Amino acid sequence: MAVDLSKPPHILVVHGVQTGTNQKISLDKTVRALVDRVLAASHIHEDYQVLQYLYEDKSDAHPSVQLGKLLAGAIAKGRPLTRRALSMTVDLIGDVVIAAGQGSTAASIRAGLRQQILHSHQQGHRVLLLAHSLGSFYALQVLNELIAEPGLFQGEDRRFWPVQGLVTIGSPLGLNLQIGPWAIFPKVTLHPLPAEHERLPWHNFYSRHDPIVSGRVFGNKVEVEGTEGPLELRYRKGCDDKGWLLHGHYVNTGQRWLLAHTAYWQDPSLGLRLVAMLWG
Amino acid sequence: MKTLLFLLLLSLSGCSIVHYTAEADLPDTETRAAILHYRQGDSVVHIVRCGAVPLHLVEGLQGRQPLQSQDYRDSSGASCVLLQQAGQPVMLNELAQDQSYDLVVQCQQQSLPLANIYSFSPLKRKRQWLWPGNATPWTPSPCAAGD
Repeated sequence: MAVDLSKPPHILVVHGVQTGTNQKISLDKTVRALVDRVLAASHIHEDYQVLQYLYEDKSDAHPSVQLGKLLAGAIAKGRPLTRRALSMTVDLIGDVVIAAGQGSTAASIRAGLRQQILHSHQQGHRVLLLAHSLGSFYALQVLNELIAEPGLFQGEDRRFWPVQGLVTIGSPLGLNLQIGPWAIFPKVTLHPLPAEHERLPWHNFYSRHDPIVSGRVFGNKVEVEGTEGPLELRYRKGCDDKGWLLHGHYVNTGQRWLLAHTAYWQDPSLGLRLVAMLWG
Repeated sequence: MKTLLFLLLLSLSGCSIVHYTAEADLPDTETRAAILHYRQGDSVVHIVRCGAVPLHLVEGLQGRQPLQSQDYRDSSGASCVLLQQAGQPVMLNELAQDQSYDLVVQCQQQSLPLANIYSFSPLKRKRQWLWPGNATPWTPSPCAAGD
């Protein structure tokens, strides 16, 4: 089905590791504020919608996370602060372990994202995927699955594509981490687009001080080659030939260490890029 | 305690951003000039325009080519928008205060200013201090007076 260019495009936000529940995530408002600011400052009037794909409740329902939280409660009995800290740690690590494990919960998370993308597309909206941190791992996998599926990405006409572009921020996809036999973020094999000329834009934003991008616990500055950071260096080979137009952008958010990992949501550069991708 | 103090210092250690801005009159913008904006430590130069979508200039795909737009290309694949100084291409690390740059538009496209060379005023430098509660990087408003 072709998108209807008169309908407002959808920016679909995929969150990263989180604590708490789905109800506490309001990245749609954050992204809306970022894009509205650019549109208002430039006197541009465009209609669009920001949607969230939420999967935190699925992660929290995983038996290992439930067990970990029970253990945390037992260990820190009578010490509410310690209990909360331990519970949050289990929550955060649980998100990563579930993604790395690629089991049924991860499959269910991917299926939910796929369903939400296709729902927007079938209603005729253009879809732009914006994924933060761990969410970029799921987003890339699902986008690949969609490209591989016959009949979804149809040739040169982008109006038939269910996703018009991918933006990743603070992504750990460049990390080649191996803990024992487990690869934490195994390289996703990019599927070639069925188009000779059209390209799928993939803009990756990263702070050079973001420890999740570099894998350096204390946030030492990421080394880059030109604009190529860890993700671009890992994914560049063969990427262009397969029709993925990967652009690396490092941004100076003025923040360091873990604050650098969450600062993208307030960074005007991201808003500028989203506006250019949707209406440029 | 020492670890906490170390982490706190680490978090607060980068609390300022240096911005460079310059203005030029582009024919497709509304009342005010277009603003070239570069944040030191970024890999992207933005040109924000009143009444038009922003333009992004970067150093080519692998960061080894002069500043240009990757979003707008002609049929041969050449970039439609370039930054130059005295007719020469400019690299990101060459941008400097009080220097003047030209925007070269070499295609006729709806989202671009008319094909021409547009001169920007000399780059102005401005330091922004960030602190908790005001941690959003500054960005110019192309339609507002007094930026």
